[in-house]
Amino acid sequence: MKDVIELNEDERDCLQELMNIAYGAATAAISEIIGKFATLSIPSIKSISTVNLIEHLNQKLLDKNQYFVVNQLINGHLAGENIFIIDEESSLNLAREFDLEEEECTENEIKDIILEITNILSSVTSGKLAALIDTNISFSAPNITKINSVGEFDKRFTGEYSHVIIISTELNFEEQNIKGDLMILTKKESSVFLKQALNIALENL
Amino acid sequence: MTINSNLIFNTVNNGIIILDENLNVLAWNKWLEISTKVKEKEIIGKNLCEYFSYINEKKLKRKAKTVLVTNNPSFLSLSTNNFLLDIPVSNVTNKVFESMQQDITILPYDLEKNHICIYIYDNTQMCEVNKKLEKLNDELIDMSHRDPLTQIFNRRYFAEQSEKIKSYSQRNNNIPFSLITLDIDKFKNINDTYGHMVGDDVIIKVAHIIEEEVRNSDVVARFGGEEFVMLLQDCNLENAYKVAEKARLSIQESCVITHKNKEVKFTVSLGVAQFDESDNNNIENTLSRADAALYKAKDGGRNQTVVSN
Amino acid sequence: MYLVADDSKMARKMAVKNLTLVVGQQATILEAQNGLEALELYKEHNPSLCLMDLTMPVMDGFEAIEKICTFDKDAKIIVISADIQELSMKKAKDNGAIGFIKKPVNEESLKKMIHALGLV
Repeated sequence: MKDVIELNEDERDCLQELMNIAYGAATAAISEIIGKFATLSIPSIKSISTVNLIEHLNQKLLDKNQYFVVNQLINGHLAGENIFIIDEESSLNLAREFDLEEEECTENEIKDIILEITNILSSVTSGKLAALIDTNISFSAPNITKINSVGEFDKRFTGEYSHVIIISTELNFEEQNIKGDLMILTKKESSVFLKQALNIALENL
Repeated sequence: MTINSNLIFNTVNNGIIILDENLNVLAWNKWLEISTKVKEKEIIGKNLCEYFSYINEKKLKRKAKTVLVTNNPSFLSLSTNNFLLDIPVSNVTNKVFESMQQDITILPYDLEKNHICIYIYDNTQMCEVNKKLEKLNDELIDMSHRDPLTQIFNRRYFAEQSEKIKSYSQRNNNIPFSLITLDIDKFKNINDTYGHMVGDDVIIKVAHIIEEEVRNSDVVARFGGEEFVMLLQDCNLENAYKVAEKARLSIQESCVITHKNKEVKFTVSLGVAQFDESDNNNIENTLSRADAALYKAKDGGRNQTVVSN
Repeated sequence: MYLVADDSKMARKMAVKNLTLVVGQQATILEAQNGLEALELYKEHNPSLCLMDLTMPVMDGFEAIEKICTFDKDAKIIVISADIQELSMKKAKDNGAIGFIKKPVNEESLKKMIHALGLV
């Protein structure tokens, strides 16, 4: 039996559309909370199995930069982990969007803001996705660390999770450009559940 | 079965606050009354941040807005202080924190009226354990770098640091750095005459003296029985020689007192070498040259410093 | 004649399906993958109603709406989008859209909108 859950083209299309909607909700939430208009960039949504995750990260993360990595556990039928990765420069831009003065931009305050934005993006995106496929989920408190290279990324992900949905985002506020990657890692049972749910959605078309 | 929520509200071992979006208090449970000594009837209708002025109002209001917009929980990550409400820790023994460390969850309570709910959970014990673990971990790492007898660094740490210092020098226009190898003269005699305890005292004394002679950026390590090495950053041969001589003289002036009140004197021999191209980018070679110089010092009568050319 | 514009195949399928349920099987529904295609199809076929997404490549929905409404001031365009920010809705309406439905669209929401606008 194949250990890796693959999605076929129709399923991927369906997932892409669901993620567009989920992500639209998340962006709207952010702009409402900060009170500024955000441009919803078409999220590039990649759906890969975790064996290809490290490769993807190697391409994405430039070794020179430092990145903040936030993870949040999800429980329920879509159990797994959401991970948000953002580079240092984007973090500073983000802090400014949250109206932080220059003196207030200490590492702790920036970490705080990143945790907040991750919580919003992660909980609304996953929450909406869950609602669209008619299921419920709950969240744990997010954690943040700083990494210098892909090597520091926890390799247990490839064992524990079978599937990754990667939403590469660009949050564009009027002045600032903020790049971040939201990765939705699902456990094997969740991937199976997701696949089934996508097929039900496709059948209803 | 209908749940007696009032009972649960006032017996649960967590703080529960219900607030409106402007952070005015609408409910305040018994746990909070007891922990903060503020009664519910005192604080109802008042703004939480006016009552507890240290709370970051801007941030908390934003969190409130977030949970009402997203209809999902939010977590207060407490960067500066690890609490929302400052509640002094009551125990006297084993106190690590002055204030209760708290885990905070914020939830939407009533979306129509824009009310939110805050749960406060006492996380102090776990934070204490974590802090102790961190400290132990740091100590472990430090121990692995130290010589047990003298408490100065050991050979292993020296190896790590010398590579770093070499890289630093190469990245910065080859700032010179030097090595001094040092050996206690006729150490075997000292041990045989006065016993191992005195021998140990001599080693400790020498270690402390040479530590005094160097700067914070330098490394002093015990290499083995009575052998020491000093790594001097940003230091050329001439200056290294001066340091070596100063150490030698201090050691010559010092002594160790035995338990029979006898004064034991001792001296050291030293070899000095500066890292240069002839070492082929390998500090081991510099070390060998310093050792060769040290040997000449021993051969030449001891209690002297020889420089490698 | 109707026009559905969305870069997502799935979204187009859903829009077509729901539109068919509301207006009937006999309707002809054209599909465009981006704003430019939508504009060209509109000029050629003059559909009585358009369902338009906002985030599309080549030419986005905002621009397509503006251009179509310049071409035909009576154009009937309903926006169906995942972008549900207030300002986006306002911008679309300013450009000429007459309605806005949040994704995912279903028969109910589409029917309501169409009837409210007096279109069928």
